[in-house]
Amino acid sequence: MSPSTIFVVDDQEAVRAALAEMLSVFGFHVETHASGRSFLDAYTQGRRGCVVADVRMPEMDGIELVRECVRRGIRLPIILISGHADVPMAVDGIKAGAEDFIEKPVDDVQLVAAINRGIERALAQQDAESSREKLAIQFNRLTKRQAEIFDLVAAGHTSQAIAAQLDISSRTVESYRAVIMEKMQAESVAVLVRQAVRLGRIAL
Amino acid sequence: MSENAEPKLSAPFGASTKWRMDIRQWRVLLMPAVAVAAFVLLEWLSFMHEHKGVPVTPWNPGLGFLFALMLVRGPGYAGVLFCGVILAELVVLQTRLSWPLILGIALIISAVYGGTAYLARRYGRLELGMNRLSHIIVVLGAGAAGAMLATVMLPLLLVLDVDFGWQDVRFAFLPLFLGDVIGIAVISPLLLRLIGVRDTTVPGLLRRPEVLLHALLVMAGMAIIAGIGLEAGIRHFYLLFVPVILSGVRFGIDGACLSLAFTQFALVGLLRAHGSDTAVFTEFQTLMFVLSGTGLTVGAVVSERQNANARARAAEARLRDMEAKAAQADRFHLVSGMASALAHEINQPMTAARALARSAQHILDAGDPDLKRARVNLAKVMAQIDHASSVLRRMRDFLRRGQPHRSKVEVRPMIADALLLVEAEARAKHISLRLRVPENLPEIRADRVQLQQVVLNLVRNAIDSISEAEQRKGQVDISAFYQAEPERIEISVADNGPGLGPDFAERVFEPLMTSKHGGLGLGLPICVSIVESHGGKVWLHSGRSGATEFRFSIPLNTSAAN
Repeated sequence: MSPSTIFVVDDQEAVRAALAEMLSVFGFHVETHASGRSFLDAYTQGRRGCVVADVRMPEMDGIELVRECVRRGIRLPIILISGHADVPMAVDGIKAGAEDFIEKPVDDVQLVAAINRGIERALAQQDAESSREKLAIQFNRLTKRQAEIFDLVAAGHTSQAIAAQLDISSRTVESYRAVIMEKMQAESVAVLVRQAVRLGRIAL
Repeated sequence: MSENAEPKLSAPFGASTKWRMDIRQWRVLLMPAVAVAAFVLLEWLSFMHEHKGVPVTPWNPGLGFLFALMLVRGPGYAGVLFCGVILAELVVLQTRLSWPLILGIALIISAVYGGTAYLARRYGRLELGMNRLSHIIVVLGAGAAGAMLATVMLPLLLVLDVDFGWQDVRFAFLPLFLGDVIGIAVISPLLLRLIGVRDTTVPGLLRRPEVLLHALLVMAGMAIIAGIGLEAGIRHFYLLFVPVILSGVRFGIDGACLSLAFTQFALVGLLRAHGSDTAVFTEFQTLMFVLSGTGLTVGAVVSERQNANARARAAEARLRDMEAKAAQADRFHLVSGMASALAHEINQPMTAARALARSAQHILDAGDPDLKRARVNLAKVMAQIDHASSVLRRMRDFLRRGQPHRSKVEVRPMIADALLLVEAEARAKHISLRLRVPENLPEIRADRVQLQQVVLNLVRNAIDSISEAEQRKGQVDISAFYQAEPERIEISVADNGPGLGPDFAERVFEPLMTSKHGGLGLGLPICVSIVESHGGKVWLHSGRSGATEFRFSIPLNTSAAN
């Protein structure tokens, strides 16, 4: 996994450099950009981290940057920093999809907390997404018969009941179950039920 | 004791309410009664002799008095006239006419004047104040028309009387007519000015020392006329024009009315003292009528002009007041704009300084501190704090206002500092500001802050014009350059906004012209007054769309202009 990077985007050189210095002293890996455009051009999909951007910038302002990231599918959390007069603007930013906003002059404790929260949330989201994707792929590998029996097992039916319902022997049901559990990498019936919930096959 | 207290308290209270009621009831009758009495008194004062039941008076002030009341209070006062005429016939003339004739005379007089007063009120719009020529014409015209009607109808009625022949009609006609007309011409306008309008200056005029001078002039004229003898002296009647015209010119309609009344009273006194006959009387009254018409006309025209001047001055004062308010609003706009600019400008170095200080602290807290890095950070902190204080200092310089303070001003920093105040606003609206000033531009002698206000106003206008058009890629170019003959610096503010329409371009410098929502339309006039006070000019160099340009010039040799 690549390390997290903090992308500091601010048109004011002094502020940009100072925030970068502070965050790097705190141990973050920092990259600075003078405009939203420069950040978007430099960013490659898949890099992890967090964006810290000024709301007021020429050409592309902070809110436009948030919208552009959403449009391009960049899932990085974005923290907006704003002067006190820009609060309505920052609210717009949050609505557009920003992670948080912090007023200037920036309180480092608040900023670091917001960055950590954003990164954690993004990671958790990424994990959840990747596991759901994996699960869907596994489930799609099941045959039609196997999927049918998966649903019945997840619904809590015993092998005998399933055998009676499908008019096959319970031994056959057992062997189906073993194949399904192996394909779905489920150690137990409980795991299999949880997978069925995440796949949306059954409701809790 | 206590049981008596209540009736004692209520009794006087009840009595006083009743008393007040009575007064109110009486007042309805009191005014007309007083008016009747005044009419009869005036008839008695002005009466000379009667000619077979027709009062031959040189003038009829009672009629003038009641005619004015009819004009102010309504033609209902014709009733007062009716009673007054009957009473006068009985008491003053001690008439021997039969009752039907007396009633007929009273009816004709009151109906004719009541009718003309009604028409004058209805169509003359006299409520506007009697200080216009048209009002004078209406009152004199109505009076003359009434007098004409009355003098035609009265003799016709009297011919019914056995004693009154057609030769008497001829004899009575002119004095009767002139007496009524003079009464109305001299007394009615004065009374209307006294009781009919709110802006009367008549009582104030009476307290002025000029009154004495005026009386002396009238008396001198009278003395000359009387000294020669009335019949020959009448050639010098023009002398009496002098005080009337003078008062009219000096004090308008009020002066003319007062002067006419005074002259008329003096004239009547003179004629009576000399016991002149009706023919001489009539001759004087004819001239007096001409004098009344002339005096009132002069007075009304002067009053009209005075009113127009007063209105123009009031409008001017209002405009000045608005301009002052707008200047204040402008300063407020400036201050509130500055507050937000200040917050932005100060927040930047504060943010940087805090972040750098915090990182220095963090470095020093570490087990093996990188002292060099911490030192560099602290140096940067100080630089940021210095930057913040320089922003504050520039703001303070800008705010330190008061009397225009001329000093040597370097053009580039003057403009650059002004632009500092709009930079944030321009940036927020995606408008770029570009400043171009050549090297070695000579310094100008000016009030730096005032010029900055002009630059700011023009740049703000440009920004507003671009942003209201919701235009992308807005650009405002501010430039300054040297021009010769006469030597001057020209400062130009050009924008790529939608421009000004031709109609608007012509009137853009007029006060209250604005295209902005919520704009006061006084920004440019303020610029004009500032630049003109520096001996320069402001003009619209181009109103074209995409290349709108305002320019102003400041002469380099401003020693003359101050």
